[in-house]
Amino acid sequence: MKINFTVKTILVMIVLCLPIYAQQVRVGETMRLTSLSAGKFMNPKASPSGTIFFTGEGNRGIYYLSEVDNLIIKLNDELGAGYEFVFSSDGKSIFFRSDNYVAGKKYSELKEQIINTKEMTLLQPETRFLDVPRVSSDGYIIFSIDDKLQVIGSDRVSKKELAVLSEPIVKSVNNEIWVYTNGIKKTLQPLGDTHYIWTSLSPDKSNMLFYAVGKGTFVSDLNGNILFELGDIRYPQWSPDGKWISYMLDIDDGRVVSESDIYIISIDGQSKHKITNTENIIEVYPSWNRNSLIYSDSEGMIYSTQLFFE
Amino acid sequence: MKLIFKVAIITFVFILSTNMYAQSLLGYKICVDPGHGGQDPANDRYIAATGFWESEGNWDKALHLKQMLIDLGATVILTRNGNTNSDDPALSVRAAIANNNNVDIFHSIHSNGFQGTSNYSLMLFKGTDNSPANPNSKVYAERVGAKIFAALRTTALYNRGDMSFLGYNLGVLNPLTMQGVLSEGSFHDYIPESWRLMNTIYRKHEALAITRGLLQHLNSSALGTGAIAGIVRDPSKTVTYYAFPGNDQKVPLNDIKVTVQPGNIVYNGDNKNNGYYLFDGLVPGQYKVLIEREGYFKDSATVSVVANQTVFADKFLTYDTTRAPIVESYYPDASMDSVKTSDVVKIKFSRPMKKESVESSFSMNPPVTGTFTWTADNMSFTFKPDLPYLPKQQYTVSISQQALSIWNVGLSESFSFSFNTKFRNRLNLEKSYPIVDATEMSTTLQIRLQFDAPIFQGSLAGNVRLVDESNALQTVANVKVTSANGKGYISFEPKNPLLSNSLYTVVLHGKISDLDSIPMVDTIYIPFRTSSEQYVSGNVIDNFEVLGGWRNPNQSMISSGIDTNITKFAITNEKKVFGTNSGRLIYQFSGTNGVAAIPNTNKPSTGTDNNATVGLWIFGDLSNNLLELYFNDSQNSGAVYFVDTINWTGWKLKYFPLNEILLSGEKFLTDIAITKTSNGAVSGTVYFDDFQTNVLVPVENSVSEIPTEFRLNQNYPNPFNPSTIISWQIPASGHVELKVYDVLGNEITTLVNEYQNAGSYVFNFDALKYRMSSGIYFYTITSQGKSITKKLVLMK
Repeated sequence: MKINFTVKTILVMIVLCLPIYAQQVRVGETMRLTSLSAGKFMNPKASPSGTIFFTGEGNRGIYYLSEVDNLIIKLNDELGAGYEFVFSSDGKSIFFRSDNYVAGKKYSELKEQIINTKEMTLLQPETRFLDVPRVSSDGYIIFSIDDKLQVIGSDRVSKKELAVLSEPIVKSVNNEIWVYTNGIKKTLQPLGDTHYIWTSLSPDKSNMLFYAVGKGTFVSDLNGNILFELGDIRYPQWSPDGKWISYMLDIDDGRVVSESDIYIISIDGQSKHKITNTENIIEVYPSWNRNSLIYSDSEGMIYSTQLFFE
Repeated sequence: MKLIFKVAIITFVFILSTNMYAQSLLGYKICVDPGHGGQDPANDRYIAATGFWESEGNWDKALHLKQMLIDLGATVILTRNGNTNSDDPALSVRAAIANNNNVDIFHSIHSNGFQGTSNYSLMLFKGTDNSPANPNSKVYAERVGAKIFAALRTTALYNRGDMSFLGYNLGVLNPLTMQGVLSEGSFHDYIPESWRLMNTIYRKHEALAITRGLLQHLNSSALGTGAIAGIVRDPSKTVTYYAFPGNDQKVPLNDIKVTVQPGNIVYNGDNKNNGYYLFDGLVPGQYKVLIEREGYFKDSATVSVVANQTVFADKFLTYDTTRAPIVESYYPDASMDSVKTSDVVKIKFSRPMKKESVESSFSMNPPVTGTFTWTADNMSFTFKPDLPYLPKQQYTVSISQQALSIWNVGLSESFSFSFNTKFRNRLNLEKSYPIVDATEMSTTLQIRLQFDAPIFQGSLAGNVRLVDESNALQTVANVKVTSANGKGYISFEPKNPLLSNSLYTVVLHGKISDLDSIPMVDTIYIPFRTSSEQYVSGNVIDNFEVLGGWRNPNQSMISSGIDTNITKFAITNEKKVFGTNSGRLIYQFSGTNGVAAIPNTNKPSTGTDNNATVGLWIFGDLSNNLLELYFNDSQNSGAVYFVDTINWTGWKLKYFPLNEILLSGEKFLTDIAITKTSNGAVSGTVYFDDFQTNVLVPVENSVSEIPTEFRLNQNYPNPFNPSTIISWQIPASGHVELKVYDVLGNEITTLVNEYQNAGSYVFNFDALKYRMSSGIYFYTITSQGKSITKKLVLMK
């Protein structure tokens, strides 16, 4: 017990000593990337090469913005494909879940699509309770079926043991957070018995970020020890360097979201910056594209705002 | 054998019901979102008329639904954990919970509201009517909507895309990555529906309908059991709130008892004005429904229960008019050891009553006169005594069997109860300033009244008056009603200075009451006369328009025993004699002795004329403390001059000859001081204005106190009950008679029969003493061979 405590204490101290530089943030130009006439889009995400992808209403289909001519290219029209799709580490393909309803019952497939050719490969045939995929930095494709973790090798065929993963996996399942390290699953309830959502691993794989319903957003280590409490901020997303977290502050009346703006906050919560400040635009679901934030609005248009860290 | 058969049926019903529920949704994951959360008036939809919170209704429906779905084998995710203000996740969070848990389907439960005149069912899915974001959502909306519409029996059903119906996307559906619907089952601001939504059984019925919709949509077998539901109403009574033409306009019955046979399943209705009942989980077949309600004839219905459906058996119960009425409740009841003397008696009967028969059969011992007030349904009355009860008295209230229901059925037995009263039955005026017949009152006096209990402010309107000699109402200002140490205080001032040397009366009507509604009963008149002195200003040394050399008391060498945090001097426009401002000294002594002195660093000279008179206007605070002025001479020798004991309110000019100051030569004012006396107030506020020299000695008001004409003023108030004030003026001394007559000329009484000097007179006439009944009377004054008559009206 004493040893564990000491280890924990040192770990917390190391994390607390992480250099959180008091950077100045300047908000640069905001560009609207899509128009109303082009359709309604949401949840933009940037590929490793900086191409901006997004989905349609109800997370149906995946689109991207051509860097050559700024045209919107439809990759697919699959139901549910736009929900938490991920990119291969080289950015050439995209992994997503495709949903299908058989007499009201939801089934899903796991697919990979080559962005250039739109060629689609079925990685997991139709099954129940297929979770969204993840891609590890060493190329493994990770997903779960009925909350049981599966790993496929970079050849897209061979099934691997969890132990092959060199980095942790975190996911929230109902009222718990599951952390897999070296093939071992640890079940956490850092804030007690409540829903945990928007859980993600830090870019350096040492910490995690999550939202505990009724409690707010927190940064913790992988044992669930709280490092920073960030308040009731929604849809928190790590910046690529792990120093900042983007989020939205959406306000609703129980029926409709009446206002929302985008912010970033340093992971220690000490430095906060409002990125959008509009009265008539309801900006939601921000994510990072290197030093820019991309997000959608309630009308279904996609935006990008440049940030300068000085 | 018969009993065994019954048991067998019940067992079969139970087993079949369990089987029908079991397994049907096994393996499905369903997210149920109870809309809103907590009791925030801004967004949790409260209906004041019924006490309904949408957040609470949604939560209760969700709990019913969760249990039904779990019984069917489903995994259920609720988006909130309770119904407090902290259990109200953002819409984006609710959707994220569903997405994160990868559920098959999402259902957000709501009720609707719009001007209180609609009651349809609305199912909303994301997208437009013809282009849903997820086509399965529209299919589910149609299926579950049909079930909800059938169960709640609303006026219409709409299955619509949110963009088409609302023009925007619903916040909770927008981020979903699965099929999902938001249902507005019915309208919580349509009052009949709002009352139904107060019933947890009604909410359960909506949950049952959603369960049927989910079962159909998820392609499992439909429920093998059915339900019986209905509303029990009284056809003879109409609701007082808005309701659609038809059954909703008839009053639903509370506290019903409904029994279903076979099974002998009993449902006891609530008291939330909905008359609703529901039996679910019934095996299809014939059932008998027995409906009972106290005071009504029993009724029954035979119904055929069909699987996966609700069969309705609404009933109008007929009132049982043959039953003898009884007293259902009364007040003051036995739990009260004593009641306020101002309290009322309340009786509630089990039947509508003939009011006249009840009032004539009602009695109290000792006897009490009063007024009956009935509720619209003629089932309850309140008896308010004309006067407070006697103190420390036991009263017995009785109602004989002559009290009849509207169907002429007498009480089953005579009824009586007793209660004891508390010791107090009058609000008493303990002190007043001015006192009755006071003279030399300041024309700007502050009238102060002290009562033996805190005053109910609502009883003062129109009941505290300041009137002049001809009963003309004087406008007053700075009215303050306060309480301290169990006493009540009222103070006010005339808005404009009163006329000098004039008669005024403070009239305190007997309706003024304390916080227990105990009134004064008798009207009190406080006549007083204003000062006859008039003044001409001399040479003003300090007009108190600016601070000048005046300083706070803590800077005076003379001050002692004061709380320096409170004791302050300032120039203010709150009160003034001349100009715009005056000097205000607020003081608080810290002990039994003390001096609150304001120093003047300029030490103004009062001149060298030792025969001159100096004066200072002071607005008194009735503190009984001393006003003293401190002077120095040119050799810096000092002297103090006692001016007066401050036993008045309002502005008064206090003056004295300079030669009374025991200093020689030119004199300089150094301080104005308030010195505490043994019976003086520990705190107070006084104002100063126009310190002056060469005051012209005040002269008596040239207006004579002797009236110039023989006059009888109109009595005040008029009409009155039970007392009124009669005033008159006689220009010459002589014998005076004042008599009261009825309309037929019969003398009721002689109020005055004596020799009176020339002057003004007031008589407080109390009709109670002469046992006079309501009506018109005349009062006549006769003096010096002349008579004047005026009319007065006694209205009880």
